[in-house]
Amino acid sequence: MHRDHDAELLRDCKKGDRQALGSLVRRYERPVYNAAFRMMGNPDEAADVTQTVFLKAFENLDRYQPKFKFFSWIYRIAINECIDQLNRRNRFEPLDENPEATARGPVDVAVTGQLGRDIQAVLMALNEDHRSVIVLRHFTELSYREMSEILQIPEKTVKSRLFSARQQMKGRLEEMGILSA
Amino acid sequence: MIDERSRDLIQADLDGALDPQEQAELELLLAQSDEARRLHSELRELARVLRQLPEPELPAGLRDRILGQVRLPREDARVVPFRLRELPTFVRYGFAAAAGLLLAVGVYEYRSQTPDAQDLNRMVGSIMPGEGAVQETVIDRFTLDTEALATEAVLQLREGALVLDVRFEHRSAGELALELRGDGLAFDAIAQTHSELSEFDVTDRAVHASGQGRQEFAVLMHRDGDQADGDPAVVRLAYYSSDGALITEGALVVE
Repeated sequence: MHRDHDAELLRDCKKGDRQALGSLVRRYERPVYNAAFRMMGNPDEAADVTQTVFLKAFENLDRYQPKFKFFSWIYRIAINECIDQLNRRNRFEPLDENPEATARGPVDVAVTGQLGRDIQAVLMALNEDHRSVIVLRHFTELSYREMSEILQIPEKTVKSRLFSARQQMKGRLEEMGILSA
Repeated sequence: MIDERSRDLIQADLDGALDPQEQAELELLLAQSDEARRLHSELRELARVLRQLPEPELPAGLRDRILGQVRLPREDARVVPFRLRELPTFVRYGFAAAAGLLLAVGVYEYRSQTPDAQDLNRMVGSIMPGEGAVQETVIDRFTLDTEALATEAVLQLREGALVLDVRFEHRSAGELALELRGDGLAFDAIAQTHSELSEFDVTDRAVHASGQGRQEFAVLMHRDGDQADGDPAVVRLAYYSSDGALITEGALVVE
């Protein structure tokens, strides 16, 4: 990703340059959608979140502080939006104790194969804090420092949260026979 | 039981976050501890399994949907000179506003007929809908944050209605002048959601607020094509200090 050029594109966006907007959307739509998909476990909701993330980012362009990287900012919006959506969803849907069931339906279409469904189901069984660190580390390949910026928690907390999330996933995948115990 | 330092080293290795000195420390650890080797192997295996997940395909048309909805600031929406005080005198109407009034809602109806309660509720509802999904598209925005003044004015389509949300805070005494200009733009209703200023007056195409403190209000407008005069429809904003000096001015353009 050409993150160094983001500042230049943002400057052009602030002047109303829609080509610059197109470049930024092309650059980040896939990673944002990917992260949203892993957070939400549902392609339709992930698409809605992705759309909302870009709308919010550019509606609030004046509030963007150039000292932070654009991708940190947009991922932060994405994670927060996912958590908001999940909270809204949880208000209307009963909690599902069976994580495998959570990933049924649309996920079947988007993630081919039983392995993909099982892993996504285990991911969905994590709480949002743990799922966020797994998504940012494994699916967007961000560093501890970048995750710390996005989640607004100390790096030490990022590491401990990541370790805890990994341990939970590992345990569940071992139970399912996907990882050897 | 593996200690925190060992755990961090193992995890950092898998995340590509070790410096050479830490790498040497990890190698020593792995050479000496079965438990560390086992954990290292398990976490590496987990990372491998997660990498196997295919990247989801982007939904068709997502980019077009995003680009179709995102509005960028317009270069010509920044500074447009005008002086409200030079406008012809409008008939001024009193408006429900008082110093220290918090979270009060006032609605003013400009049309010739008197609206009934249902109409008023609908107008207020249009400006400030309750909970639930609301379709909003930002048309233009003006923001400023200085020692004397912080303000944000957002012009948007909300559920198909043209709505201007204005928030500002005069940190010392000052005044705001807001004016509708050009191409058949007119007020329908105004809802005040926070008022600390001492004066808040509304005419048929202008709002004038003065005092010190925070003020928030929303304006429901419409654009009447029959009254188009060829000029672009513009909401003009000007902020003055208490001695009448212009602090800043700007315009939001209705496309």
